[in-house]
Amino acid sequence: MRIIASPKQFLVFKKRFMPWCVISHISLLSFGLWFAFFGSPPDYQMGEAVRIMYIHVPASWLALGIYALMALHAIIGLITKHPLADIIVKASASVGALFTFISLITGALWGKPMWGTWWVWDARLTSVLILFLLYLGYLTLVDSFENHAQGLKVGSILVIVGAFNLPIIKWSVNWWNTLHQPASLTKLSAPSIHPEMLTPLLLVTGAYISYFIIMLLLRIEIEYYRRREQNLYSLKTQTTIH
Amino acid sequence: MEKLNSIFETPYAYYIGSAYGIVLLSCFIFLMTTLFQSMKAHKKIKSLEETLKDNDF
Repeated sequence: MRIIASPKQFLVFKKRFMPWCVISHISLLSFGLWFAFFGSPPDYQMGEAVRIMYIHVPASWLALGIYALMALHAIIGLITKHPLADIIVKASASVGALFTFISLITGALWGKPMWGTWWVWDARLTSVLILFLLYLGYLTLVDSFENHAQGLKVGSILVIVGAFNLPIIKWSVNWWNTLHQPASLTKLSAPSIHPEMLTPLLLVTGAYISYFIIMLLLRIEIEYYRRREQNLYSLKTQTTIH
Repeated sequence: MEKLNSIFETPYAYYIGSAYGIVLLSCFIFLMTTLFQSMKAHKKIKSLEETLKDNDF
């Protein structure tokens, strides 16, 4: 954390770390796509449509995971007032929104041939839609304040309050009678999925995670530049006055 | 290639193709937009720093 807390050190760290992230992303995505189309069998019930699972499920995991990361950093930011925590929350939000969008769209494209409908207002789908609205709400809220620091603080409160939606998403399929299937991998018992199907699922998850890290580094960099620009303008104004 | 043909000969081809297409395209567009924003911000900072240096602030 200390490495990226200083903008100068962060830029050096980003320059060194970014190529590895790009290489791992390209490799994981290539292998993931290969296994998704050639290395895994069709499902005995869903047939070839099961291949949508390899991009839908990891996107949903990332959508939840990124929000949890944001909530954690929002709490850290409110307690410690460390600016990096707020920067991480803001930098993660748009990537989280992207993965939630992917989860919703691929879910609809999977639901139509399997359930016969694009959308149902069941607990799992509705709670994920609420998650997407929370991401969009956060992004709109932080930029709507004239005082940027105040916007980030209010945004952090929204993220913490919205974190109550995470257990609802996770256990909605167990608590209510939903059309969405229950978890096959995140149970405490052994996964009820064939290893040939598990491989592309994990590879694509790795590709998504490396993509998230790349985007996070880029967005932190943009935020640092934005803050530097503000500092330079205020320095320029102060010098002109004196 | 035969396997790919067999996948896309099923009635699910439209849904599978659309899902993968949307994911890859949206991720690519988002990456490009962010890269462009980053380059633009970097350029802006450099020019601002140059201006301040030239004006001896």
